[in-house]
Amino acid sequence: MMLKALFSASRDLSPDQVRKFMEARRPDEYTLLDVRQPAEYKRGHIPGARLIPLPDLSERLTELDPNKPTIVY
Amino acid sequence: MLKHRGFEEVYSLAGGIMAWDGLTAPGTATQGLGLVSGKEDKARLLVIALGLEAGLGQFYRQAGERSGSQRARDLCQRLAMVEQRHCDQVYGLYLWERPDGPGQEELVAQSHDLVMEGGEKVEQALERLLPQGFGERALLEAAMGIEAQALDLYLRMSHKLAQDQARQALHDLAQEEKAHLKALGALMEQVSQEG
Repeated sequence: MMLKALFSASRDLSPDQVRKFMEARRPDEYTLLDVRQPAEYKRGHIPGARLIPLPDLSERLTELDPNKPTIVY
Repeated sequence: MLKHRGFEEVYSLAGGIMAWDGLTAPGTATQGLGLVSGKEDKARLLVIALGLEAGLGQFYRQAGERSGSQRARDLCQRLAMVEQRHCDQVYGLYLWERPDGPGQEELVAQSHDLVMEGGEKVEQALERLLPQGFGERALLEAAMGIEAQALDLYLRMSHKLAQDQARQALHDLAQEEKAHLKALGALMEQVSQEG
């Protein structure tokens, strides 16, 4: 999936940077967003990730807090 | 898309989930969420968490009984003790909310039939995760998987809760699980080096 094209203004973080980002913060200080399909999420997701499949994202953005840093995968 | 809708700070995991080399949790986005309706207050939420933590303690105790090696049995005992500490912490928080509440054992009995932390029954988890003849490493791998699921469940449950204090309590418990996972990771490293 070409996430970079869809979230073009976002900055890439390596897995190690994501891990450090999460370790340094409480879970309520950021949003971890999984935009894959439910079957992919079910096979395995990063603990605490919210699932909003990409096709639904536009309609469901109100479920997320725009003021919190958001990590997408 | 997010930036245009007012999200100020957006990051992408480079390489996506395929590149992620940390822990993952299996299961659907709603798995285990039947434990909460979303309307629970902090005290009720703590009762549920107590049942989950107690269930995990039971898992480790039963795993220890099935284990073939003394080292694996000792490890199970240590892990069960950690869960008992979690139970004591959760019960302490509960007493702040309900000073005249029942004792810990009674409260555990009231909570969801000893469903373990990941939202799965103890016996089912033992069969699935620890077939006969497991050792220290398999046990640690299972423990890390379960704790990752517990962390995942606490955080997904928190998304569903309406009351700030209850949500906060779950975030605190999630922080504990993160610390526990880190400790298990260090232990795994140690066992790998020894083996």
